Amino acid sequence: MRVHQIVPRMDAGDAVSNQALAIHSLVSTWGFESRIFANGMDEFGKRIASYDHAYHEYMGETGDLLIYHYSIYCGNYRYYLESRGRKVLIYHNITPAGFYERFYPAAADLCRMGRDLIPELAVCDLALGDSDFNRRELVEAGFPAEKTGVLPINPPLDKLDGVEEDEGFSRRLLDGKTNLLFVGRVVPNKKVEDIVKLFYCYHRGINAASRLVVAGSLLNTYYSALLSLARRMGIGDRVHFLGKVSDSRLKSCYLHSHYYVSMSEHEGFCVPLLEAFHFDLPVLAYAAGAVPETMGGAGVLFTEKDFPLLAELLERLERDAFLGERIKAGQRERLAFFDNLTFERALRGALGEMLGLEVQSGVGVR
Amino acid sequence: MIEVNGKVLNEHGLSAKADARLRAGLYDARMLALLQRDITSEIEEHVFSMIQVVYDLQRSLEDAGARLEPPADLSSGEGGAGSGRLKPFMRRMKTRFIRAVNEGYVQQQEKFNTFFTKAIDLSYRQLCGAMGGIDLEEAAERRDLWASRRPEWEGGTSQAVCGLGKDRAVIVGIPGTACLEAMQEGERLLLATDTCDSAVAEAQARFLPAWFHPRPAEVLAYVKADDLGLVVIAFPECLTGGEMEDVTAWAGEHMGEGGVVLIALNRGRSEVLCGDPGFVRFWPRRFLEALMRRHGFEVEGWQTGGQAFLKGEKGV
Repeated sequence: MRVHQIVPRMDAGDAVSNQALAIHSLVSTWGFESRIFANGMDEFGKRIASYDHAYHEYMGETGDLLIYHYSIYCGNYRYYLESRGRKVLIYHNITPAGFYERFYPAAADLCRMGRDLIPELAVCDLALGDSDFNRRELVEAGFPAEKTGVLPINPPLDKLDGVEEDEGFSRRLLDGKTNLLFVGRVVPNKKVEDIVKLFYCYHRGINAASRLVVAGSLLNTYYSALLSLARRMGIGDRVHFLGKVSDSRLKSCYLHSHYYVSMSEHEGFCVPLLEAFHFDLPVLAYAAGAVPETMGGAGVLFTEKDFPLLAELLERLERDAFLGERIKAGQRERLAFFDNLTFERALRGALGEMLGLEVQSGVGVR
Repeated sequence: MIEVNGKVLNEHGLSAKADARLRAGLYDARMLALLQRDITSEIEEHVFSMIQVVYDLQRSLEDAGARLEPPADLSSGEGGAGSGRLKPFMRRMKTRFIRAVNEGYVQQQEKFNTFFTKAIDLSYRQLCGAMGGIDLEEAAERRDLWASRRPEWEGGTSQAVCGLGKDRAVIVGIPGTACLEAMQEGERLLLATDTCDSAVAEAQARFLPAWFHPRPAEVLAYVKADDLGLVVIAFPECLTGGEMEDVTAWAGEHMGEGGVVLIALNRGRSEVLCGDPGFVRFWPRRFLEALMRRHGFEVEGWQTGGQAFLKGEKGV
């Protein structure tokens, strides 16, 4: 029996690609032949995956298992629909089109098409969300609840441990200022403008020796609007958009920032929250999408974006070392739910029966 | 509601502090209004998106004679044996530029887009910063002034240039229609050619012999120039090294004793454009002098009005 996975793209550092790799690695360890197919890939992906048209060769094999990762509209869903083997869908969520409408209409169309397609993908043996939030969306789209489950992401958190930090950049962050950090693509659903507003209150009202660091690839129109807002607020020189960064620079960001802030209003999982946990950075996050689930009661969650109030909270964290320590301890505890062993048990729980493996009950699939 | 480690936080103390700061005037009315501001209004009201800036920049550069797009038929254009990998590389860069401009955000080219946006933003901010402020309307005016400026000679300069050499004249790069009209009145203008279609259209509207071509030097091969006495290169920055060589060689071949080649020295004006060496180049004076000498011209500096030139006169 072979286990195939189809992903939209196989890129270094991409969350969906990392999930596919983790599954590939485990399935291979269990003795199955495993392959990954992708519609596009970077140099890293080329070392691991094949282009998806190569999956044609296996489409008629009824004994194989196909795992289809769905995170964006991509033409390779046809292979999934037409495959004659057993099928598992892993849904990583698709951003609602409304967020992109004003900034990038073409992306909004892709999101809309992607969401419209979800009901058609219900022809599977099992549908997994990487959070319960995602699983519930599948059920709302018409997937039978009993055929759905949750397979949390297995983020390679230790990946950055072996990386040398960018010393030059670290020196710039270690100048005595308080650094607020956000990591992720600078796209409208992440609501980076709200982070800028919070930083504005903090910088203006509480701590002028502070800066905001935003690390992640930029969507041109949205980025220019953010720059414009920051300039209008007079904090243009204190808000640093780094663009997509190298691992060493990312490590510097995590190591030398003081707080991680997320105002995102749509997340299917949100790996950077766990990365911040891993680097012992107190996390303040808006409770939307799968964020509360990923944080699992750790860190600071808020349901209202009251910027002056949140700025006061930052100040309290700065002054109350005990509170800060409690938050960090809670975050460290939460990380245990995402270790390799837990992921292996969850994957075995989800796929074990289909693969003919011994399964421990109650793990992974609900 | 704020939860810390899953437990609801008592917000009273925080609210009281925030209110106190409000009363103390740290959060004024303007600031509170900014906190309510929708990010989309930054686009609607400010009309300042990177895409717009990129479009503007592209248009300005093209107006200045710098061609960023490959030919419509995707032919190799100025390619040829021995061009190595540079030209295909430049072609790919141009294509990527256009895609980045047209699509704004291309997932497959995320890295390129990131760097590209940052680079454009950086140069634009430097441009604005040089004026000590970010008044965008003013900045846009200045940008247009710097980036799209073409040599526009004053009447005195045009008259002085008309007085050089003898017989018919060819102008590569139109330094304003006044110059062409002065040449035409003296019955000297054989042809003016340019990379800018609007300059050519303006000249043609005045019934002046002007011709548009993305590589003006190629037009010269079709010109019958038996009585040629003057060749003017008004903005050499927009010609490649090969084109400079071709134009000077053509002038050397077609002109007899006393024939004049005049090359404008626009360094002061083109410095800003020199930021992109692939498209607008500053040619060092020594290079231009050597080029003219190689084709039989005796070279000297020449100035009229505010404009400096290199003048090459054909010897015996």
